[in-house]
Amino acid sequence: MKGLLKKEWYAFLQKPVTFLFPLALFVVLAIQTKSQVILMYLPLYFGILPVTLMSADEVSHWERYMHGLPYSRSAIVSEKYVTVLILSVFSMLVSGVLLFFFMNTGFAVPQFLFLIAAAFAASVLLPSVMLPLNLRFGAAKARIALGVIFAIFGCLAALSVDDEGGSRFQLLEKLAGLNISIGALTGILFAAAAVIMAASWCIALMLYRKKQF
Amino acid sequence: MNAIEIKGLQKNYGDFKLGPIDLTLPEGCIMGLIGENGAGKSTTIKAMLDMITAGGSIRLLGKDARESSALLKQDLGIVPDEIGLPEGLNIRQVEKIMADSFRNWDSKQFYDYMKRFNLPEKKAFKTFSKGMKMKLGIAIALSHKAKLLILDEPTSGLDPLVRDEIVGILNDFTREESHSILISSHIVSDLEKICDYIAFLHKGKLMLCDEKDRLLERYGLLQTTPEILRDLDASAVLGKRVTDYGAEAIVARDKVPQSFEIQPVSIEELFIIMAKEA
Repeated sequence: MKGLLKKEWYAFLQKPVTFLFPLALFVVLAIQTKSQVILMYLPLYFGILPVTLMSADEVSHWERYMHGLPYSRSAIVSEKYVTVLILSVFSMLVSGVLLFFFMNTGFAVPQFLFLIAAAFAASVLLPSVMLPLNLRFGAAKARIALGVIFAIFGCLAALSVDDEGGSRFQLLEKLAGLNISIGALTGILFAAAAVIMAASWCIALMLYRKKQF
Repeated sequence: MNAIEIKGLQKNYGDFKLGPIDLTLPEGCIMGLIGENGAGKSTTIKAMLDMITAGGSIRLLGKDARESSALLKQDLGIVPDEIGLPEGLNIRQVEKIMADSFRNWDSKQFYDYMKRFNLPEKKAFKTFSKGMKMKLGIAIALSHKAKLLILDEPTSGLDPLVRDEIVGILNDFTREESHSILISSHIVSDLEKICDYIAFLHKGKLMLCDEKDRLLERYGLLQTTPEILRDLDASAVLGKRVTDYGAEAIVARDKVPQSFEIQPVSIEELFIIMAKEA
């Protein structure tokens, strides 16, 4: 798998603008505004990078060429998830450093860890949805599938708004009502992200093993 | 040991059916897989590389091609019709990726090929011509001590000089007795120069698979009239071409009377006339 990871690394180096510009932009914006929401874009962006690079692989026919190299289908799939994980950890660390040293508005360690967990969850969620689709159907069809998923969520979100413009479900209020500690929420967030990623990896393996080239 | 053993290979795409194909390549030999575009050459190779599911059994270098696919590929040199390396990479980066992929990677040998082929080490792959890309693909396949080379249309779209150079490289590879090659092409003249075995694929069916010299010995070209051709034993005629000026047929030499003047046939003529007849 080392050769495949090295290929990803070189692919990132080929496009330093797509790598460094968003990093610099989000860092500056997050520090200036001290907005934790803006900070969450950073892991979101880095998590999806390996998925976007797959489009370039398709154009160059790398995927087909790779089948002449000594890698199993499992290794090919797993490499994508390892790349996502590496970038997630990287963006989580950057977010942590920014939060702790530049955006610390006086929050305690548990709140800090909760935000880090949120950063991790944000970075793995989208690739966990996209990777199985991309690996099985290719980047173009996967984008269509993602559009459909977003449309379904959009419809559900619209249905959740009541007549006065409020939410029917009041998720945050319900969560607050459960009286769960922030430490437990952090753990749940990390565990949920890990479970989603593991489930996605299993589905991707299953789909990719059946793929015909 | 046989380098390649294919038994009952079948694949059905609905409008196209491949096989059943039985094919054996002894170790140390070169086999040319000849067929028109869409004959099933690439499908056969894809099945060998476990890129598609297909019926039948495939053994490469004595191992089941599906069960030991990744491990087996350490000993295979694969050159697809399109060398799909990421476009922005240069040769040095490609070398590092391959060094981390193949356990027997020989860096020195790879760079020797780069010098021999005059390939620039620092230029991006996307700036390479088709010939340069193919040479790089062949260099990769030859730099990890592969025992079996599988090449899918390596000379297609290349000028005669580059094609000749590639044929020379492949000849060098088979100087080692244990090295074998399967090369598919629709440019029959290239294969005729180097192959020990010839397999004809036509519309998904294996029409013929035999040693090249035996084919050339066994079959010949008979130029005569359509009437005389009609009088010949039907089993003697493999294929014929009738024009306003006469007829020519591929015939089995031992099945036509010795009084006939049978001319030597080239592999290209043999394929064309047989394919038209099929």
